[in-house]
Amino acid sequence: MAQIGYAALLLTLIAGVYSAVIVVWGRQRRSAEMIESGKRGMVAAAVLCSISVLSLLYLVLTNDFRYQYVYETTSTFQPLAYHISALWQGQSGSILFWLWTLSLLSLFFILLKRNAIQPEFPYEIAILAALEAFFALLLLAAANPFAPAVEAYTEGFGGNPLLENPGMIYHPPTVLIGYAATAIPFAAIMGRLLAGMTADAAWLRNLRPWVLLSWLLLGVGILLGAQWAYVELGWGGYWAWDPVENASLIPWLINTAFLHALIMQERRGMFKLWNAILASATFLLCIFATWVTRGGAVRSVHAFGASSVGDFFLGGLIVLTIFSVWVIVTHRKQLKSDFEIQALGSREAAFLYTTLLFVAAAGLVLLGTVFPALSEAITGQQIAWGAESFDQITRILTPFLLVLLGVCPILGWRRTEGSKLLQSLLIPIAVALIAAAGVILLSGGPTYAALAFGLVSFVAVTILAEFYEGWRLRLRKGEGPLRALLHLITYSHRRYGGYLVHLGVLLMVIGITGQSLYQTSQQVALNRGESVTVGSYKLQYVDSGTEDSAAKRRFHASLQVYRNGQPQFSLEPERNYHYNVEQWVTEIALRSNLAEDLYVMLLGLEDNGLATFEILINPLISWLWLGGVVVLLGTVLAVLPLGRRSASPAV
Amino acid sequence: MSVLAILLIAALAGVYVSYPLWSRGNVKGQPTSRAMAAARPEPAAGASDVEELEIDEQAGRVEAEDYSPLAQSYTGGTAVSAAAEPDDEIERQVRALRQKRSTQQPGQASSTGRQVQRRPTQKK
Amino acid sequence: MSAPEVNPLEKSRSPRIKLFIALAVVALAVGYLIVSSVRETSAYYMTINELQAAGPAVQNKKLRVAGTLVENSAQWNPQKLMLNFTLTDKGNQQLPVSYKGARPDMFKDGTEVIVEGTYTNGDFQASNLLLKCPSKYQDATTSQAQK
Repeated sequence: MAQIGYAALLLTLIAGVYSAVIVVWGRQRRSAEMIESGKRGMVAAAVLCSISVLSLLYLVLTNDFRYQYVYETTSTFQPLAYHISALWQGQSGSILFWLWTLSLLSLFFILLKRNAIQPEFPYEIAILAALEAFFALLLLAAANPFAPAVEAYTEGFGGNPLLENPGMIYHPPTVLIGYAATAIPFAAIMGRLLAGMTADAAWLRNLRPWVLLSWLLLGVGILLGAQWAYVELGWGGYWAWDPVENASLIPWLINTAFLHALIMQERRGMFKLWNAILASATFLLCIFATWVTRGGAVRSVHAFGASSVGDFFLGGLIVLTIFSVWVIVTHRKQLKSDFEIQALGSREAAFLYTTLLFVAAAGLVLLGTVFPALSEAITGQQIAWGAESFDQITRILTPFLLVLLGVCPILGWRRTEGSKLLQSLLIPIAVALIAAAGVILLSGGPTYAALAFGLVSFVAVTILAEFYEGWRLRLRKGEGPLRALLHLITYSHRRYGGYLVHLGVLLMVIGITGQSLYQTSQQVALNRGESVTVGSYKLQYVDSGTEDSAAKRRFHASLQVYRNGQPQFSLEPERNYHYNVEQWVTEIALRSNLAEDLYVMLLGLEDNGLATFEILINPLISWLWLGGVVVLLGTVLAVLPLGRRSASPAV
Repeated sequence: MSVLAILLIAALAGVYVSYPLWSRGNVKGQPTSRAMAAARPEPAAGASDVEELEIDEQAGRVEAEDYSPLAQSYTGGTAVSAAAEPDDEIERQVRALRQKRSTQQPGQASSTGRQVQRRPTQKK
Repeated sequence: MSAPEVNPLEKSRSPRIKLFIALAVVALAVGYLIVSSVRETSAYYMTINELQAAGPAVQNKKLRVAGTLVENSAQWNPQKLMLNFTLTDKGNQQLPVSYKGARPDMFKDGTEVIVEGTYTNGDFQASNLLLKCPSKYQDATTSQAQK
């Protein structure tokens, strides 16, 4: 079976190379047959890669320890779900998964163009095929999933116990698919340039769902990772600004800039050069992120270990960067803007500010991540930004983001009349001020909280005003109130899906701000029967125990939680010692509601029953996850093919 | 056993992929080289959501001169910059096709009977 | 649609310059804010050797030092929630560290630890611990004990 998997991977490499070569050649010779053959090569590559993936899946599910990868990622007593997730848990498996996703997405992208013959088609195929060939080569040469085992193993290593939780099942694949999906806009835009064309509104319109797909998957993947860290890693937070975390955030920020600049290109033919750069940068930064995670490039607490895989990614990154720069520079005539910004307060200008903001944010995260290496290279002294540095920067940039979110929908195309702007801003600003005052009065909180929540209210009002505006139009067209609301969302679904996403972002900002500014924590050592009061909760340490099993030694303590003198619920935090990795793993106890999270960690349990706890109250954090769901829904709404079909064909 | 399977897979893939090269005549529905000469530009997927522009117009955010070009970007009109320099026959034909269609554009943007443009349009 | 009509207004330099100036002002202001907050919150990396050589010179600076946990040096006082341990460098220098806070999960002999904090009188007071997963098979995870 492994031989089939390996051979299929080899054939995938051959198919990729073949496709890339034959379509370019066919383009030169004006041969549709050759291009068709290249297209078929992509179909073959996807099928062959699937065969390879299925082989690996088979090996993993049958615990075939003759192969190193299976040994490293599975064990016979591992639950089924984690057997399946072993497919993407290890180094080579995750790269194979990336390749597989890329091949399927590319195939889908190509087949959707079946009825359109466009000059950039061969180039798009060539780029995607070449990328697939690159990954296949990398796997075969440096990360063979079908490599034989180093020893004769009878039991698997079973993966890290920290990874045996639902988060490991859905977080990595989501991020990996997000990475793979960024290749599509890259190939499309580069292909279009190579074909000597510029992008028209219809073409850009068709591209947008692909950009949204990668944006959504990468964003949701990052958020799932944060939620996993919060629930599983047990240090009370969800984002540590670790280099690997940052590495995946950077392309997502650039992708956000790209998404918005793309809208302006569709409407006004602006930002063409920006978009060519942003599309490439998004994709290249995903490769960079992978290099950082696996190549040991940046000093990090993450340990994949340096290997030749890192060299491959670095090499690929360099080649692709040179390629992108070359394509953009030699085709810059096609990237001339059709429209110049006329006024500082115009919608076009606001999109420019948005793009700049996200690019700046990405740049800063990148700078902070490589700062130790950079500062050492320049000054000889290694200086590191702490998590606090990044948090401060986030606090500085967030108000700008919120102002843009709120003001942009009000602005006019080309220019905005001052009086009109003022008129539209009156109510939102008034609400914002009331909210800010409310925050100060109710919580005596930091000024920043008043600023943040005030701005959040400001944006919320402007978005609601937009819904009202659209609803009013539909009413004027003679529709009943309910129908008007429905049609508003379905006919202008791209815009209102976007506004829904913005509302989701607001919820996330509320969650992030609440948790970061209002968190309370306490560490305490208790004997059985003793209690401690944190916030509005009283926690009484009731009992503790120890159990042994094949996999681990379990230490647990139970707490009874009271509120207003009434018993509410009990919590049972654990601290377990896992034999296979010789490590302690904390299992937190968590009680969430919309207002706050009660988060308890068992830090230690002594023989005499003395237990040390860390108790945290994280206000509003659930809004972060809730916001993520709203963002997901909004994006789905924006992408769905809804709306009324115009009877005339678009062009 | 595996070797047989591998050879079979490789052979199937090879045949499938190379088929257009050695089969005579049209590969089922796929364009021939001659047919490629009449390349069609890609139609925009999904319905027009020009209502977005109508909302902007209602709120007084669109100026007269901008309404028509913006409306075209919604209905899938082409905004091909004149700076494009296509380098072969196919692009020339595609552009010719687009030119032809865009000169038919005014008043045709929405054939559902609703007036999209309520201002005098500027003929090119 | 052909290129937009050439219009004196559209070709005007004025919006461009205004735009550039406005953006430059904002960028400078924000940049200043960022630089000053990063200065306050960043830490100097030092090896144990460098640290002990520098001594009082780095008294109040925020520092980061990397080392491996010396065998059997970790002492955990549950009542005071104090963790004391010793780190060592390849050069066999030793650094005593005290940390008030949660004992981290992956804390075992031979673990590579990065401590962040201040150094006074030969003793390092850590406010943050960053640990590396020791096993090479492990997938990417973050472990950070925070005060």
